[in-house]
Formats: sequence, structure tokens, C-alpha cells
Amino acid sequence: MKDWMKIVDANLIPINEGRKVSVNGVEVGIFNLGDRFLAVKNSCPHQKGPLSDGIVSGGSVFCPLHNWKISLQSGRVENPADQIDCSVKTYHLEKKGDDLFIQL
Amino acid sequence: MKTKLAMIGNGMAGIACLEEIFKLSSEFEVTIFSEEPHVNYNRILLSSVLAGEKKLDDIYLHPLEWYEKHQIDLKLGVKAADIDMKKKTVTGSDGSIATFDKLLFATGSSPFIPPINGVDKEGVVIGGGLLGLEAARGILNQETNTTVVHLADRLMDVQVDSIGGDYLKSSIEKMGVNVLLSKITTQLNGNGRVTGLTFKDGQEIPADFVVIACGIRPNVELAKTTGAEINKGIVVNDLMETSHPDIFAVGECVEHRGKVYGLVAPLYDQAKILAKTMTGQKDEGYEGSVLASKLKIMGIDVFSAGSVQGQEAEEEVVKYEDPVLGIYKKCVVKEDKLVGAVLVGEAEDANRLLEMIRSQEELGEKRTSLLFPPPEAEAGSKEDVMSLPDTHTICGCLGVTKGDIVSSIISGGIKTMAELKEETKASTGCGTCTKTCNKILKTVSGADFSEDEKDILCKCIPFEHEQLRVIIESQELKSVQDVLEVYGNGHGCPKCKPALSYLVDQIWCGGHEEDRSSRFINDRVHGNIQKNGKFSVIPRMRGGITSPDELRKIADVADKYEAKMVKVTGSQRIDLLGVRKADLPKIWKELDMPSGHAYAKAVRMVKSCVGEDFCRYGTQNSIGAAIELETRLENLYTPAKVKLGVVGCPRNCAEVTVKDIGLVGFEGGWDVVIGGASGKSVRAADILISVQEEEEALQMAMLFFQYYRENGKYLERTYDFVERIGVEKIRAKTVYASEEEKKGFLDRLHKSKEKSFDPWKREAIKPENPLQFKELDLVEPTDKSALINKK
Ligand code: SRM
Ligand SMILES: Cc1cc2nc3c(=O)[nH]c(=O)nc-3n(C[C@H](O)[C@H](O)[C@H](O)COP(=O)(O)OP(=O)(O)OC[C@H]3O[C@@H](n4cnc5c(N)ncnc54)[C@H](O)[C@@H]3O)c2cc1C
Ligand code: SF4
Ligand code: FES
Repeated sequence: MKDWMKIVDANLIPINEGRKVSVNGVEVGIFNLGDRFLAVKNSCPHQKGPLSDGIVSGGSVFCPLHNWKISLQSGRVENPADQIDCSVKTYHLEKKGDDLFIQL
Repeated sequence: MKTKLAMIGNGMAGIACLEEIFKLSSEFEVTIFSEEPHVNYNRILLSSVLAGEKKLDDIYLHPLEWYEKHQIDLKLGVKAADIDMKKKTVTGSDGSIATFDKLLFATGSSPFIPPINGVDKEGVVIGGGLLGLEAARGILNQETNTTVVHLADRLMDVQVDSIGGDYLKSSIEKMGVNVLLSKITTQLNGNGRVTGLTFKDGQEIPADFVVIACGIRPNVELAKTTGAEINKGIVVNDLMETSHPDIFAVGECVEHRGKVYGLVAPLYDQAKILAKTMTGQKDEGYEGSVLASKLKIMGIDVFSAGSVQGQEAEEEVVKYEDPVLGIYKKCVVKEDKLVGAVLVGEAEDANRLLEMIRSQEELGEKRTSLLFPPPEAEAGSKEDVMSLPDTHTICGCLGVTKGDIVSSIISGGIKTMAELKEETKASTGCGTCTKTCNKILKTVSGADFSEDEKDILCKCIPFEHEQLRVIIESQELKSVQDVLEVYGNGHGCPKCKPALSYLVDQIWCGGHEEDRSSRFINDRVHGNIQKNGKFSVIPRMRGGITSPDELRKIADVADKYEAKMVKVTGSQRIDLLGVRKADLPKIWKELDMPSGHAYAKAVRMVKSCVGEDFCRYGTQNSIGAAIELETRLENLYTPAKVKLGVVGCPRNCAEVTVKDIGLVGFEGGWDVVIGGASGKSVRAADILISVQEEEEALQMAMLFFQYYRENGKYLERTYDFVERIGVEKIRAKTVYASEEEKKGFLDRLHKSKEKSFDPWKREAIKPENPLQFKELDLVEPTDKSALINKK
């Protein structure tokens, strides 16, 4: 079993926004969806856009560079339709008390 | 000699009957007494007007031209006051007299006029039926505390069963309406003005105003004086004849087989039969209607038809419930026929079920797909609608069948929904069948089909810009999330969220509730995102004027924060390209220059030329005017970026005739030009007006600027806006508008300006969110014991 690392006070991430954290050099986008927190690799499968800067919609984020839509739960590309085989890595994120923990 | 027909009442049923009569005969000369001062309108959509979703103009059914075409003597705002059956005359409240051979009562029931004025705090609706709930929704939108008081132990008790009532109650409550059930109101308290209500059980609640929606009372007072038989309503037989040979009646004022109907579908059935009777084409007559109703509150779907309780002998009940999604479906089957249905939470399937109830076909195999349509009939497939029988009713409100629609498309060469509505009236009632009509039209008219020009913002919130502005304003919605939750799909997307962010800001002149998650990253960090995730910084240099001191600061910052490039932009300012997000607040602070908004849909620069101070041809102080204009408009957001310029003579060195707004100086005055472009399109600006003084020129530019802010669609540059609206109209609405209107524009502009701010200055000191610019860099401690194992 891998270790869980404490990253940040969850209250600092506004609802429906993402923030970038680098954990041991890996850049991770963490997102507050209101009812849950999710984490994906912070690099769009298209041209490495910083997903944490995208607009969150439902359970997905739209990349700020060219608007690809990526599911935060599965990491899969949802749009454009011909790219749905691409995906980004997702990470386990858990909230305990006020803090967020990540497992890489 | 034509038959003189006097009709009292100008409502939906009466007019529907006249339409039928005109189809069958041209032998009638019609006079209409209409107590209401306007032409016939769609009363069903009145709740939408109350809720501010529609304007009265949107819901008129028959324009004045229709009355003229049929040579109807329409007495608007004239109540029929007296009838003399011996002389056969009707006397109007204005003293006018109409003689008749036949008299038609279409007086409806007592109108329902909620006294809403928006200042009250506590609104109470007595009656939890269809109208009561729709009224409550209307009041809620006016930001009033709203309570619905209902006599029965569940809402809409006539239409839904007790479980359905629970589902309905919880969605109504979620909307923010308080619901009190099993309460008999015995008294309205207060002296002259309501202060509260008392119930039979002794409980009292406060109220600033009360809406009574406890059912309908047919308007029969006047009909009583004619000697025709009256009970609850004007009594008619199956041929829609009253007890008097020259008197007829149709609509909500009618009682047929002991029943008074308060929904349009049965009234239209009546109207058709009556038209036949009056034109001498008697047929089998009217046998009563299956009642079906739909609650028209956005986000709360309720449908009910036929017998819904399912407690009678031989009635079998088929049910489905999902408490989490709030969906409840129930069908009542009797002798293998569907006799009733209730849908709460999701009513897309309403028409299919209603048709099964109306046709009384044997269910047979269809029984297995009662609650969910069989997959092959999935909505969207063309076969689905086209395989319906011609007798299938598509528009329940107006009783239009598939056959009617298909034949009028073919015979009338119809290509658009607008034409289809005009021709068949289908989907002009509650509008829920619009999709189906559209599908039939597409299939039947094939290649001829053309989409109505409708320009909705986005699928998440399917309204046009103009409608959204009305909704946001009348509903007093102050944040993007509020708009999306009440009128959209709740979460929005990168297309609609920034647009709504702009609209709430513009409408409330900066007094909206800012929701940063709805903004594009550029607007959250006040810089332009670049291909590698870095940002660019372009400080404001009003009029393109800078100083050695500023240049030094720029140079220092560029060095210190390792800007990848320093570039003179196409807009007379300087760009620091490729800096890190984390450094932005520090850069702003050290530059100590205002944001140039180069990243936003906002006022960009005002370019200038050297002008009269230096140039040998200069006729006007272009630099001064440019700096003044930029100072007045900077920090304001716009539908799309706005680039301006001022030049001192028509040589136009700063290219202002290809800018959104430009001032072109000449000897003795200024041309104010608008709508120029030199980006994706190239367009020479139009002259808005020529004036003499600089201050006048600035005011004219500001008028257009605010007009564009209030009427432009999001992302619509002025070059499209000016073409869409037309320069003539823009002139009439801005520079040639009344002094009062002009003052209105400028006042709102000033109000927005007062609330506006320089985001760099604000966030350099204290970012909105502490993590917005921070880079969190975590390294796993080498001492493993510090790690939290399994949290
Ligand atoms: C920096 C600059 C180019 C330069 O080095 O000179 C620039 C850079 C960009 N322009 Fe521009 N435009 C710049 C002047 C212009 C001009 C010239 C002018 O302003 O006089 C035009 C033509 C005039 C006009 O706007 O009509 C211009 C027409 C566009 C357009 C086409 C707009 C249109 O509707 O026709 C876009 C795309 C858009 O807005 O949709 C665009 C979009 C962009 C964006 C923001 C693309 C983007 O979304 O990232 C570029 C950002 C690059 C970056 O990495 O920062 N830029 N752009 C100029 C900044 C001016 C400033 O000081 O603020
Ligand atoms: C807010 C609201 C929502 C509704 N929603 C739905 C719905 O979703 N579905 C549905 O099927 N139905 C709905 N209805 C009911 C539907 O609108 C009515 O059943 C229908 O309009 C009745 O038509 P009518 O012609 O009989 O009466 P009305 O349309 O009421 O017309 C009667 C007219 O006669 C006039 N009049 C009366 N006496 C006189 C006189 N002495 N002289 C001159 N004029 C006179 C009245 O002023 C009135 O204009 C709704 C009604 C309201 C008010
Ligand atoms: S023209 Fe403008 S948008 Fe195109 S590459 Fe150059 S800066 Fe970018
Ligand atoms: S980098 Fe994400 S869409 Fe292009």
C-alpha cells in the first residue's frame, strides 16, 4: 500500500476551481467539485495545457488552451469526439477533516 | 344578409371557435366585446409573464390585423354591460350598442390577478393546485418569502396521488417555497391591508399580500339575464346548444354534462363542435374530454392525465420511483387499457401516455413498456414520430393531430416552425410539443426544411441573449450560479459561464455577486494564458503615452522576473511575454501601472496619434482626448474586446476607422465613428455623428459604448453588432434618443464605472484566493515516520 501525503487545507480550494500542486515533481491538478475532490495529472493530453486552470463543468474540466473536455473522475477525454481514447492519469485524493491527502 | 354574431369575451376559447367558424362559413358578421384592453393572448403563458420570463407582447395569439382581415368589429376595453333579448342588442360599458341574430358567450371564468408589486416581503398563495403553484413561482422570482397554503393533504390533489404529492412537495420546497398542507384558511387578518392569515386550527401566519387561487368560477352573471339555463356554468348539450336557440356558449363559462373545464384542450374541442353546430353541420357532438394537465414551472415536471388514484375496482397500478433523482411515475391500467398516468420529476414521455389514454387502445405487448418508451422509439429518431397514426394528437393544448400537421405542411408548403405555428397553431399553447412538431416538419418537408433563426446562448441555458437579460433583471438573479440553477442545467460550460458572468456584471452595473469559477483563467489571474501555461503582462499606457520612468520600471521587472521577451504590441503598448503565474502579483506591484486588460473582454487601449501639439497637420488634441477617453472607460467589461482610438486629423495615423470606436478630429469638430475592424474581418467604421466640441464627442462615444454593453451579445464585436442593429437604429437609440434615455445610459455607465476597479492593484496586495498564485511544491519527507499511513 502506498503512502498518503497531506497536501493542503481543502478550504483553500474554491468550489468548481482547480489548483496545481507538484508532488515529488509530479504536477497534479486538484479540483473541488463541491461534493467531492478529485485529482488528475495536470497536463492535457492534447498539448499539455494546465488543466487546473480550466473551467469546471459538472464533473469535467475544459482545458484552458484549446477547450478539450476531460472527465475528472475517469481522466478520459470527452470532447473532441475523435479523441475519446485519450486520457490523463487520475490520482486518489481524500479529504479527512479539513485536509486533503493524495496517494501517488 | 349575413348573420350578425355578437361574442362576449375575447379569450382563447371564443377566438378558437371563431377561427373554426370562419373555416366553415363566411356568412357571419362579428362584433366582439372584450373587457380586456388587448387582443387575444395566450393565457396559459400568463404565469411566464408573471415570472418575468416573457413579456406580454410575446404571448399575443392574434394581432389586430387578424381581426381586420375578418372584418370583426372589435370593441377593446368594452365590457358587455346589458343584454336586451327582445330587441336583440348588447350594450357596452361605453354606451355602444350592437344588434345580433346570435349571441355567443365566451366569458371565461373570473380572472386571476395576483397583486404582486415586489416590495412585499411575505407572500401567501391560498390554493396548491396548478395555478397556485405557478403563481407561487412567479412571486418567488420577485424575491419574496413565499408560502403555499393548501386545503388537502397534498399539493395538486386533483391531479396527483399521495406519493406523487410528496415528490412534488419536496421539489417545490427545494425551489424555496414553504408549503403548508391540510390548512383551512378561515380568516384574512388586517385592517384594509392584509397582515396575515388564520387557519381553522388556530395557527396564524404573517402575510403582506395574498393570492387566492382556489379554482375557477364561470362568469355567468350577464348570461343569467337572458333566460338561458344556468347552473354552475351556462348549461349546454352535446351539440353545445344552450336552452335558448339564439344563445351559444363556449369555454370556461360553460357547463357540459355537469362539468366545467378549466384547460384549453377541452375548450378547443368544444369550440370545434360549436362551430359546426352554428354553421349547420351537426355531427355526433361533444362527449366530454379526458383531462390532462402539466405544471409549467421550469425544473419541476409534473404531468397528470385521466384517473390517477388507481383505487377503483379492476384498476391495476404500475409504478416506478427514484427518490434520489426525485422521479415518480405511475400508470393506472383497467381492462388492459391505460386510464390514467402521473409523472413527477420527469415528464418527457407525457404525450405518448396521453395518446394511449385518449385512444383507449388495448395495451397488449405495450404493457411492458408503459413506464419507459421501448428503445426503438427513442426520442430523436425520425421513424418514431412518423410511425404514429394520423389521429395521434401532437399538440394537446390545441388539439392538433399528426395528420393535421402533415397535411398542412404538404398543402401549405411549410418550411419553418414559425410558419407551422401560424398555419396549424400547434405548439402555441404550453409549448411542450415543439420538439415533436419540429421533427415532423423536418421529416416531411425534407430538404426544404429551414431552421428558425434562433440564437440561443448555449445548450446549458437555451435562451437568447435578450431573453436572458430580461430573466436576470426581472428575477433579480445576481450570480451566474443562480441563473444556471433556475434556468439552466445547473453547471454550465466554458461557453455560457463567461457570458453569464458578463451579463450579471453589466445588468447590475457591477453590483452582482462575483463567481470566479465561472471565469476563464485569464480573468482569474488577470493575464493572458500562453501555450506553455505561462502568462503575458501588458500594462495600461493611456493613449499610448509612456515615460522614461515607466520604461525603467518595465525594464527592471522584465529582468527580475525573466520575461522571455519584451515586445511593442500592435496596440501602442509594451508586452512582457512568458512570465510565471506565481510572479504576477509581484510584477504588478513593482510595475505599479494599471492593468491593460489585454487578457479580457473589456476596454483595451485608446490609440492616439501625436495631434495638434506636435504635428503640423493636427487640428485637434488627439493625445489629450485619447487619455481622457481611456480614463473614463478603463476597467469596464464589454461583450467582446473594445479597441478605441483618437486621431487629430483625417489622415488617420492611428487607424481609428478600423477600431470599435474612434474619434476623428477635423478643423472645428470631430467625427465619432463606430464598428470598424481590422482583425478577422476588415470593416471601415460608420460615422455615428459629427460634433463640435471634444466633450460632446466623448459623450457620444460613451453613449454608443454603453448601448453596446447593454445590447451586444457576448463575444459579438462591434463590427457585427453595428451590422446587426444597423447604424440608423443605433443613432436613433443613442445620439438622437431623448435626453432622458441618454441620461439613463450615462448614469448606468457611471454606476458601473464607480464599482469598477483595477484588478492588478487590488490583487497585488491581497489575492482573492490565497492559493490563486501560490505554487504548492511538496516533497515526500525522507523520514517515513512523518507520513500519515492510511491517513
Ligand atoms: C500581443 C498582441 C500582438 C502583438 O504582439 O502586437 C496580441 C496578441 C494576441 N491576440 Fe491580438 N494581439 C494584439 C493586437 C491585436 C490587434 C491590433 C490592434 O489592437 O490594433 C488586432 C486587430 C484589431 C482587432 O482586434 O480587431 C488583434 C486581433 C486579434 C483577434 C481577432 C479579433 C477579431 O474579432 O477580429 C484575436 C482573436 C479573438 O479575439 O478572438 C486576437 C487574439 C490574441 C491573443 C489574445 C490570442 C489568445 O487568445 O491567446 C494573443 C495573445 C498572445 C499572447 O500570448 O499573449 N487578436 N490583436 C497585441 C496586443 C495588443 C495590446 O497591447 O493589448
Ligand atoms: C395563469 C394561468 C395559467 C394557465 N395554465 C394553463 C395550462 O397550462 N394549460 C391549460 O390547458 N390551461 C391553462 N390555463 C387555463 C386556460 O388559460 C383557460 O382555460 C382558457 O384561457 C379559457 O378560455 P376562455 O376563452 O374560456 O376564457 P378566457 O380566456 O378567460 O376569456 C374570457 C374573456 O372574456 C372577458 N369577459 C368576461 N365577461 C365579459 C363581459 N361582460 N364583457 C366583455 N368581456 C368579458 C374576460 O375579460 C376574458 O378576457 C391557465 C390559466 C391561467 C390564468
Ligand atoms: S496574430 Fe495574434 S493570435 Fe495569431 S499568433 Fe499572432 S499573436 Fe497569436
Ligand atoms: S492543450 Fe489542452 S486542449 Fe490543447
